[in-house]
Amino acid sequence: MPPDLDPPPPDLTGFGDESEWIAAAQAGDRSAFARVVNAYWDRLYRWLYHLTRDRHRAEDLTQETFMKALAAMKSFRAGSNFRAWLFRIGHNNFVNLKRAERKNTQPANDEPPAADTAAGPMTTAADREALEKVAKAIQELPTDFRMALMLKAEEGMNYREIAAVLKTTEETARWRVFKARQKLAKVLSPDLYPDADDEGERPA
Amino acid sequence: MTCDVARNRLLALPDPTRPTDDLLPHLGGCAACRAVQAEAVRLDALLKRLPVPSSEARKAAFLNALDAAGPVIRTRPVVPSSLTGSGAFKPVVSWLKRIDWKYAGGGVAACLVLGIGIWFLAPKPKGTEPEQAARPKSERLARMVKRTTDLATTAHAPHQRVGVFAEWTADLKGEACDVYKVADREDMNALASQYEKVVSEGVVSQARQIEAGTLTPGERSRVFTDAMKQLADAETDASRLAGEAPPNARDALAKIARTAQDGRRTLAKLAEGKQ
Repeated sequence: MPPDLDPPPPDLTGFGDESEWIAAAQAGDRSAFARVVNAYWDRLYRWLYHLTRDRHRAEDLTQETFMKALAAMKSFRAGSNFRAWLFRIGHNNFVNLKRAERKNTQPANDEPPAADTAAGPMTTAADREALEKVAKAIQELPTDFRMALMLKAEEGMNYREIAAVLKTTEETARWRVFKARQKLAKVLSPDLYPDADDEGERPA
Repeated sequence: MTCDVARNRLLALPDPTRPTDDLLPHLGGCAACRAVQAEAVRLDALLKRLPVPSSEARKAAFLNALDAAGPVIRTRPVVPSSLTGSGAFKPVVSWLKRIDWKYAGGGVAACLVLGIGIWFLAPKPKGTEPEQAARPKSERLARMVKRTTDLATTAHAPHQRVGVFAEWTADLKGEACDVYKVADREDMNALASQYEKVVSEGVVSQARQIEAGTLTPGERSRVFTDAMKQLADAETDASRLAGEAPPNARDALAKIARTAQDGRRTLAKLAEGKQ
């Protein structure tokens, strides 16, 4: 099994040691909690947007996650992984939302992929085309695969962290990322996988 | 190592730019697998650039609400941490140190289940100008954060929580009265359900937990009277509006009126010590 080489999470707050801010937030310092929100909002929201494909639902879930985190800060164990803890809350909220939607038979309205406002003038036509392909293909992925892949790709989480967020095993997290990448790679470059068996070999 | 094995391992790597030692010999001699590796790297780069609509306005509203809610934090200077070597004073908060979090936490958690549902399900402006949409949403958010903060920071005892939850019911009733002409049935029903939850699982539930002897008769009377007044107002307003509301909102308003009436009657019995 290849070693997980990912680096540890970076300092996210930009204000020094993240653990100090989290400790202050746990002690009730609202300004410290606001800094944590400021540091994590966009990242959590991006992930939830990829899961919901709906801006308003993603914003609701993000806000709900921080509200729950605010209420539960005291229960966070100092020294453990705050990012995984926070994303775990977000994951639970997402699962609850899907459950409620199934119950009400009211699925989220899938939005078309957002316009690529981040693409600068240097973005080539080929890049834009590839981005569109990936954006479309990722919507076709099973949610579990999408969750794991985006935690890996956008957050740079290692498989242990992904497993903690998704409450699964490290091996399953690795498998989901692998399968998601495999599916997207085939869409992006079908000529590189002419005869590939869809299931492939489970990576060692 | 076959190409299939090599490719699968490449796609399973934590970082495709850093192949493991056992892959290097194969990659060195196989141009096709090097192309797969390059595509895997490209894919990861593309994933990081996937477009996502901005959420800045919502984040700012949340931060504002957080800033505006609850009691002012009192800070005091502390000796800088030797770990960081920073010379700057850091704020240390004292306001929550007095709180029995184990006690308050349950209330907060329960409140969140309610409050977040409210935010989720409350009518959201659709297709309106951003400025028009942002104002009522941020007002709702500010109220929700305030209630949550109140429950976490100041409402330690059941009688205090009765007050917070009663104010929350007033918020919800106000919301229903504000939007009943334009909201669709689903949104109004959601509001009515949330109102019912806050009354039954908030106001009434906390009122039941007020222990005898913890309040003077005058204090006890005031707690119950204030909460009953909020519910009576809701009963009156919702009943009146239910008669003139569009069909979409009629049932929901009637439900709010019924809930308020039931809650008020239960509180009256509790106040008299009959339950």
